[in-house]
Amino acid sequence: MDCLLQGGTVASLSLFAFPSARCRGDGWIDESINWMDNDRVGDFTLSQTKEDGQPQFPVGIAVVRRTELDGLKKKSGFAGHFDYERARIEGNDYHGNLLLRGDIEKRLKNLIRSALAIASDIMLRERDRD
Amino acid sequence: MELGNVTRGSSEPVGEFSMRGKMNTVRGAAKIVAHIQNAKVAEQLERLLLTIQGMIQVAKDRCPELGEIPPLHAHIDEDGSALVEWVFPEFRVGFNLEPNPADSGWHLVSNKRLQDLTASGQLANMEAIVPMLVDFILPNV
Repeated sequence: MDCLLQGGTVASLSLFAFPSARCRGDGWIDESINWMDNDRVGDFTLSQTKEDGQPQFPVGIAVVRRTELDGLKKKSGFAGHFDYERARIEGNDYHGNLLLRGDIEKRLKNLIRSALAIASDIMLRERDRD
Repeated sequence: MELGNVTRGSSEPVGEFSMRGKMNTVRGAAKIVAHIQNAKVAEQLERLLLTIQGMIQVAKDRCPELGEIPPLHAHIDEDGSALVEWVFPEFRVGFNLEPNPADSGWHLVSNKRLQDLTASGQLANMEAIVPMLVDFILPNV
C-alpha cells in the first residue's frame, strides 16, 4: 500500500492505520513508533527489516514532533482518545506506540489519523531524495 | 448528473482506488461504486462524488483560473465502509461512509498556517455539509 501520495503528502490510511483488530486488553489500539532520542534513530529505523529481510520502510519514514503529539492530546474532543507511550523491546530501546482508544467513534478516529498525517514530515531513503 | 464513461486504467487492487485526473476530480467513480458490496455505502459514495463534482464544476465555470484540484482518494475498509480522503498541501478533508448512514461522518484538519483547525460531524445532510466544506476548500486551493 502506498504511504505517500502524489506531491509527497502522507497517506494517513496506511501510515496511521490503527486497525481495530489490534486493540489490546487495556482498550488501546497501538501503532508502533521509534522515539527520536538522538540523531541516529532515523537511520536505525530505516535499517529495520521484515522477517524476509526486506526493508520495513522501503520508501522512508514519517517524523512527528512530540509537541504536535502533545497538541493533539490537548485538543478539545481528543482527550482520553489519543495518547503515546514508551515500550522498549528486545533490540530496540527507542520503541514506543501511538495509542488510540478502541471504542473511538470512527469519524473522530479518522480525524486524528488525518491530524497525524498533516503533522508529519517525511524522511525519504537516501536514494529517493534526488 | 452522469459521472461519465470511465476507463479502467489502474492496476490497483479492487479494495483500493484513487480517482486521479486533472480534469475530473472524481474520475472513475462509476466503476468504483460498482465494487462496493454494501448498497447503502455505494449509494452514499455515488451521492458524495456527484455532489462534489457538481460543486467543483460550478466553481470552475465561475472562476476558470481556479488552481488545480487534487484527486479524491478512497479506500474500502474490511468492515464494508468506505473512507474518502481529499488531501491538500495544508489541510485534509475526509468522509467515512458507513452501512448505517446515521454513522457516516466527515472531518477536516489543517496545519498551523490555517489555524490548526480540527472539525468533524455527521454526514446525515450531505448536500448541506459538502458545500460548506467546498466553501472552505476553494479559497485555500
